[in-house]
Amino acid sequence: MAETGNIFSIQRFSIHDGPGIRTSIFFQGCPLRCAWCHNPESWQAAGPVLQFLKAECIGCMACGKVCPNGVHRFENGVHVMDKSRCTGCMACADACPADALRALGRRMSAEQVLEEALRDAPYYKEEGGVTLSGGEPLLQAKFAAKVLEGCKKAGISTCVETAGFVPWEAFERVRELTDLFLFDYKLDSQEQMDRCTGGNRETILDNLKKLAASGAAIVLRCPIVPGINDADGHFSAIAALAEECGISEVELMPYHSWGEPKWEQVGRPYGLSGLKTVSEEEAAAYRARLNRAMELEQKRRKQRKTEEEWKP
Amino acid sequence: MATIADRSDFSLELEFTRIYRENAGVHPALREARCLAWQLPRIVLDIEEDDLVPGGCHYGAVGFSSQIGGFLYYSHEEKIDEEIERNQNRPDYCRKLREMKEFWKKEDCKTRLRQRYSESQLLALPTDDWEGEKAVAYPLYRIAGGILDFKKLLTLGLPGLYALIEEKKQSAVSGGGADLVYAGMLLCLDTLREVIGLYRKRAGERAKEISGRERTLENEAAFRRMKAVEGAMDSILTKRPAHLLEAVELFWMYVLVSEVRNYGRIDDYLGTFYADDIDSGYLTGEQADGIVRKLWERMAKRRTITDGRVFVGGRGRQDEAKADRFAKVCIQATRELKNPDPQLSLRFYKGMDPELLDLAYDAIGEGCTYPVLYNDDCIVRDVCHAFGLPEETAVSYVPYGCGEYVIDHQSFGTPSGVINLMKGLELFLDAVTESKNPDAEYLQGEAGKERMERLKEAAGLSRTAKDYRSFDDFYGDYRKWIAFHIEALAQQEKMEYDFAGEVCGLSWLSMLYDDCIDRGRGLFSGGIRYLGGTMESYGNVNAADSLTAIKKLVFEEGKTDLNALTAALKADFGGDPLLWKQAKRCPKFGNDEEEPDGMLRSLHRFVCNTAAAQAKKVGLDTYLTVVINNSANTTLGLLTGAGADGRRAYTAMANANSPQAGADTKGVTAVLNSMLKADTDIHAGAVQNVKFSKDTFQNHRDAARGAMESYFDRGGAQLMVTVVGRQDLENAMERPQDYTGLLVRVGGFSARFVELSPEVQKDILSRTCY
Repeated sequence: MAETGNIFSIQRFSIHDGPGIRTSIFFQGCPLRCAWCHNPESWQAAGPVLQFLKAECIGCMACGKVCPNGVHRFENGVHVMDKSRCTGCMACADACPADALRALGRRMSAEQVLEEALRDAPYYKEEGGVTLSGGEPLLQAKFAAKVLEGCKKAGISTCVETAGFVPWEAFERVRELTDLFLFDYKLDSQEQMDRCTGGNRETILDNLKKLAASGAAIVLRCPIVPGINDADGHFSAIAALAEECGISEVELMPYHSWGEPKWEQVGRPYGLSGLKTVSEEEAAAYRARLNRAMELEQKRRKQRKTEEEWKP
Repeated sequence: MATIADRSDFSLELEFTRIYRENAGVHPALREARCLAWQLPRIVLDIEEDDLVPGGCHYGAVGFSSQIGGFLYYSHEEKIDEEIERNQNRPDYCRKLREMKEFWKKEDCKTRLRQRYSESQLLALPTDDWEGEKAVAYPLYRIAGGILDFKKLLTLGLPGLYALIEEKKQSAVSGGGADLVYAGMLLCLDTLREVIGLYRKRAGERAKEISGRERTLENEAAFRRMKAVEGAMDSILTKRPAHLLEAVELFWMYVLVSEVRNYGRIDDYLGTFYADDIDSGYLTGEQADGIVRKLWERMAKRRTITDGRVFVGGRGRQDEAKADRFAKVCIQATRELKNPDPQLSLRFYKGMDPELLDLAYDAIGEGCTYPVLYNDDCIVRDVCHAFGLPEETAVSYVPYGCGEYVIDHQSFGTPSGVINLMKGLELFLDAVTESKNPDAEYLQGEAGKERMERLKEAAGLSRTAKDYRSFDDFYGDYRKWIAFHIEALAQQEKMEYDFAGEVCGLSWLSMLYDDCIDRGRGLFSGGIRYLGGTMESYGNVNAADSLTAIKKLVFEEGKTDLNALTAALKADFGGDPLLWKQAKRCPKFGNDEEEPDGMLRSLHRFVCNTAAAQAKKVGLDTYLTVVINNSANTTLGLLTGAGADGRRAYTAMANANSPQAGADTKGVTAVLNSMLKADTDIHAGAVQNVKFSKDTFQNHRDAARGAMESYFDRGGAQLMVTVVGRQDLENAMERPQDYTGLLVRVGGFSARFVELSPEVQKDILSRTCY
């Protein structure tokens, strides 16, 4: 049987997820629950996710009439949903005349994904290509490998964007087929992670170090969220990690609140409500702090090296 | 608008009418020249102090014009009525005006041409009012889109051109017709001299007036400008232009009298003057650039809106190095002035000076929308095929107006017919379903019913909706219906040329068109080398998307039938919101999907090939479709009901060969791929519009450029690029339905702008990154 996977979005002419012109394939399913996540519709590992756009709803109750499980109710003219009863049949999305209910995500074969990705092959040239993103693409490592293999066969360059919280075997599956890893580094302690993202920091770091040691090309991608990980220590930690792993490129992803409406649309409460998008000036200041930290780290390394050389 | 001549009453119109009548038995070329000798000096606009290139026209209520004032010998009755109303106390004057009005009722060329229509043409073309009345097809009355041989004009100068024609006249057989054609041309050149003389005089008078004022920097500059104009005008009266300013003045004076609204390959005919003046030290670079800027300002004042094309770059220019230098200044002038006129366009090819394209992308990135990009490597080949011409001729293609290709001063292709494929589909559904009340006056009531029956018969429609067993049956009959209307338009085009050839000589155009002087014939009296016509086709994308939806919803999924669908469309989906959603969800052109793109390709081929096949039947060298860019997609959309593609009634249709607003949800590469699917070598020009965000274009220029280069490499002929900024996002907040494809572009984030909350949208709006 053809390898299939769960995909929630495919974005063409993607120019922020790896070099050149790319097609980003957003995989469904994520083992983390980052408080600032901007793609919360990706969390559910399989089956379509029901998206509800409140502003579009005209209150016609067509959804309530077709739903076999009583998910949709109207209380005082307000559309209320009991998502726990939803089986994902999407009859409501089909029946909704206002397009307020939509099914996000679908099961695709690797061939289907490749067909879509290949449509833009003439634009990729040497630099651009395909980026697997998500969600966590390595949760569907076998499927991801199949897609990557197809890309390689077609001579298309590949990127995998990962948060790293997967068994090492997942990396093993895709390592040889990936030209560049965009590896997230989020927080400096397990305690912070327990509070903000979940997941096991040790696993993530182990994977990162192993991956680096294997010679894979890696860009560290670091979300910076005000009040959570914007202290000096975090920039130093990023610099130290990059130095340790021999990673020369670090990309900061300053917090933006643009994912917030999507939390409501998929029926999840947003914990960081009210936190403002980082301004361009603040973002520039983050980058300056990181650069300083990296310079400092390099100096330290040189010093260490000199000291080591002096040892008899 | 102040003319040099006193226009406080209608003596221009009355005397014009007298001359016209007096010359009734005279050769058409001479009659026209005599009428123009009176008209032109009286309609030219006065020089303004900030002019370096003066000249505009304000046409009278009665007169002769190829398109701006009216169609050939024209009369605007309502304007005469207003004049009568204003002058009730002058009974004798009013009597003369009334008499004039009555005279032109029969003589007006538009009326006379319409009287020649055959029965089937009258059936297919029920009205001329394409902006106000609802119909499938409309005739247009105009001689538009001449591209003149300005190089010939500037090389010969006025005296040289005069001598050339004089010589021909001497050797022409007296009474053979050609001698009178030449006499008409010479008289026209005398009139041009008079007009140039008028501007020389006015410039001198203004200079004198300014010199009497307080000595300020501004006055000094104005004085110098007026003196420069006076000097240049004086020189071109007796000599061929030797310098850039003289060349520019002569060029513009000829534009004025000939009424051409598109300026052709300007770097080819002005580049040498520009480069030589600088290289010889006659002008500094700054002075020469200043002249170009002033010319650009003059073109902007003319505000042609859909014309004003200026071409730079491309194969086939005589002195490419000098032309390229001039082309760069043109791009610079457009960047500085950022006016909608002129519509600067760049022809490019592999091997051309790369700096020209770099500059072009810089201009586009600044939000100029110009230059419009034309890919010679594709279009020269296309023109060979569509026009049936050899490559050495095809390299002289020039798009005019909204993008219709003609061969530089060798061919004509006036667009004198408009077809609205979407209204065509709407009325076709009325023809074959149980619909009772077509939304077009000419098909309403008892007379309308009878007319519909005759139309169906003429188009060869014998079946009704329930007889269609497959989509192909349905589509086949729709094509018959459209073909019938195309045939009527092609016939009208040829009739229009023949009519023009009978009533006038069009000497201005003829003198700068190849072969006319040699043959001693006016443009449309056997003078022109390639006589072509074009048909403007609108609603192509909406019609194709609607056909896709009909195929899916009616014939494949059975979600509705043709009768129910037509009823829902008539109600603008009012009673059936679910059907509206289903219609919107059907695949749409612009997303790089085989089904809808294939439908567009099929419809495009059908329309282009059907039009092309008419040429032979009606006696033209070519009759080609143009799928062009102007506001007609909106004007006609406002006359067109809801579509099966989900487009609401009386709203704008998609522009040219571009997706309907909001229908392209997969981004620019998908749009470009879709656009590549419509053949480019079977028509006389199609326009493709793409949008990039300012952030993408400025901060990721390589990616934006890479996308466009890939499109051009794979056979993309043309692109009009808009770089959108804040305004577009604000529009998206107000009209989200038109912007469903707008993606927020940030790393790792997947969202459509219009699906975010207003607060977040505002936040994004306050930034440059999207």
